[in-house]
Amino acid sequence: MKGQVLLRIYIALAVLSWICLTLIDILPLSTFGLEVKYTILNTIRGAFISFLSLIIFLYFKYSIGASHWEKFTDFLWNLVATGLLTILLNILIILLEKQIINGYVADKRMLINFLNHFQLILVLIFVSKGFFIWKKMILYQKTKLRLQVWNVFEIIIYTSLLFTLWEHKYNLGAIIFIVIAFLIGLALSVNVKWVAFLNFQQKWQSILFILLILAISSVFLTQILNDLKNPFIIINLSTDIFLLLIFGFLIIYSIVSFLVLLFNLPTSSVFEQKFEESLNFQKISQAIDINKSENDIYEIFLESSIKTVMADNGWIEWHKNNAKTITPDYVSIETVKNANEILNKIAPLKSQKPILIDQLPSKITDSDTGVKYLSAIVIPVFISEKEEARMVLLKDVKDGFDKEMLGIISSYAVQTGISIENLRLLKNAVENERYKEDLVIAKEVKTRLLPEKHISNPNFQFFAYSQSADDVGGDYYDVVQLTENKFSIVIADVSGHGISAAFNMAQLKGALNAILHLHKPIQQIFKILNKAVSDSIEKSSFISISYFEIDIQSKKVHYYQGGHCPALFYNHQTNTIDYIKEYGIALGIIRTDKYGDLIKSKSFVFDKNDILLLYTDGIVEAKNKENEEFGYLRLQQVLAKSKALDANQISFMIKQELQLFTQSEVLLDDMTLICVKF
Amino acid sequence: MQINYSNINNLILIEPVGELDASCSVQMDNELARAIAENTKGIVINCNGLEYISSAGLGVFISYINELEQKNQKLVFCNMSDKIKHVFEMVGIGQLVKIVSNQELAIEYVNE
Repeated sequence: MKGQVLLRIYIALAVLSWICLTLIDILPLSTFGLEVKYTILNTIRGAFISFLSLIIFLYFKYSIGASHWEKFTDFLWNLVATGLLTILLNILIILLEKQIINGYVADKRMLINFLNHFQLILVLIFVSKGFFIWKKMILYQKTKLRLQVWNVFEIIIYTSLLFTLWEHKYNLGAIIFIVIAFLIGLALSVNVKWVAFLNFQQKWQSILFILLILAISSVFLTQILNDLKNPFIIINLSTDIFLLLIFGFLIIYSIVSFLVLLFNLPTSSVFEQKFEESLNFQKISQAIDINKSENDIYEIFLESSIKTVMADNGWIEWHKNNAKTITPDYVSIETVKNANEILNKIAPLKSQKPILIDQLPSKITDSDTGVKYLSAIVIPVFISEKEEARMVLLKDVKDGFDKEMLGIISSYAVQTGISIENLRLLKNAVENERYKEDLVIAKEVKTRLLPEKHISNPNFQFFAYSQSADDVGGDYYDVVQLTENKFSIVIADVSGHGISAAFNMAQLKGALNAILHLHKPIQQIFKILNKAVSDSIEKSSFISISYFEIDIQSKKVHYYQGGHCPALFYNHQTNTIDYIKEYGIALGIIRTDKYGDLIKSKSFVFDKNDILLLYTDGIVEAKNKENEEFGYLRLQQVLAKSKALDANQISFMIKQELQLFTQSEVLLDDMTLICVKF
Repeated sequence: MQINYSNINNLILIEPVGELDASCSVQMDNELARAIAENTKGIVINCNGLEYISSAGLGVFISYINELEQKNQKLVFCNMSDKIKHVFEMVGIGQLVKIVSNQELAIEYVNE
């Protein structure tokens, strides 16, 4: 907003001063004729011309300075457009003036001067715009020094406005001033860095634009000189140093730019090539994307290489999942074999270095097109210091490749190796993240599979304690009320750790829940469970499981221990603690129907204050510092000590003993303990 | 873990030494597969040097029981420590494979 206001002020001031200037020049010539002293008149005229020039100058300083165009050619085109417009108007005015002179109009002088004042504005607009557009070009990628020099130059230009205040002679002072300005302008004119950033087409455009600008400038200059000879025109611009300096600067920089553009045309393609090469590097390094494959990176590498050296054919041989692959896949194996036969004599398979072959000992024939190749480049690609791929580029002429090309392609190869290494690392990292997430999910799953630790029931106390060594353990337990008087307790140990164990456990729970509520006899339960489990767990996995069915009414426990640790039972009446040494067969060991025939459930009676202790091998196999196991004996002893306590207290005692024994906080195995007190 | 493998009079003798846990189970798996492929009368596993066996180790033997039965090859264990024997019994494999006290008896059993 502030900018707009400023520009409007400039325009207003410009219009005002132009009106004043015109009035001063015109009025004396009109029929009203004011007699004013000449010298004062000249000074006032000079002042207004200076002021007008300054305002127009500042207007463009601000408006060009604030504009942002994308391309340099846009700047040039803008100036050309303005120039064409002003020159066209100027020509129109000249024609009009001719008409007036040759015609029969009264007050010829007044009219011509009136028109002349418009010409003044046109010239000022053109040169001011040109000046500041050149400023943009010169100050492209400026250095501090250059900016300072430019500022000095601009100040000199402003200062030159003072010369317009009176009609002066070209005395020594003036000439020195002009020479200094000229030299500084010349020094600034060598800054044509922007030329290097144009492509071939843009260079041609710029040449055209600059020629137009030179033409327009010369037309304006010619007109100014002609005006001097014109008796009718009052304004004398031949002493306007301001205008002359700017014109001079405009023309000098145009010529310099023109020459630089012209001489840079032939080498333009080299710059574009270098630019493309760095783009290719970017492409290769940006191909590190989780959705891309190594094949994609090799493809980009091959494409960029073929384009850069203008090869007639090329491919990359590499290992994909331990199999030899060729990229691109439309290259025939015949051709590659053909090539390798000849190349391996010169560049044996693990050659370790990029090789340039000016003339192949025998021509390589393309089995698809029949073309015969005469020169080649062979580049190995190293990934983590191992040679994993080899690129071959071919041309059907001798000496088709040079050292420069070899150098660039070698750099591509290095970048490719780095990109692929990074891609692998990235994929690994993502895998690990995914694995970690899977573990978290599996832990969630496990937490939902295990029931509450404490079951309250008037007929017996039940307390369970379970802890896993890592995030996901293989122990499982459950207590289910089958009928009003029947409860079943299950404890199982799925072999292995980690996610597969957790999922096997989930499958077990699913099968169990389905079977239990069918109220089948234990033998049937195990038969069905075994079938269900055998079909779903791995070949070398099995599930050890103990199953106890408590009948409150009959005070009997029916059970089967399928490959699990023997339960510990405390008989209150006889005050004995014994392991139930009835051993069965774990699930998943015999995966045929034969299993059903080998199952036999057993039973025992219980009474008040009897204790049943179920556990997994993590408890008895827990080791202390001397690598001694906790063992079955110690477990018996702890139960003996705590037999009078409640189920939860007994469990706590056992846990404490274990911690004391192992003297460590860290568990090496999963541990589960179930204590039932009747 | 070290596993000694030898072919004696058309039967395979495998002697595992050390602890057979999850990390070594692959090794044992390979040796068993190799033994079965030789199509001998049977395989004797001498557990004299076997200090410990995990559920993964057990799993390896279990996975081959069926195959051995189908190919009519005998599998017999000998020189087991009490601890290892207890593990075998508890899991229930004790009922499925032959366990004898020494190597002579084992070889005798295979040659029956």
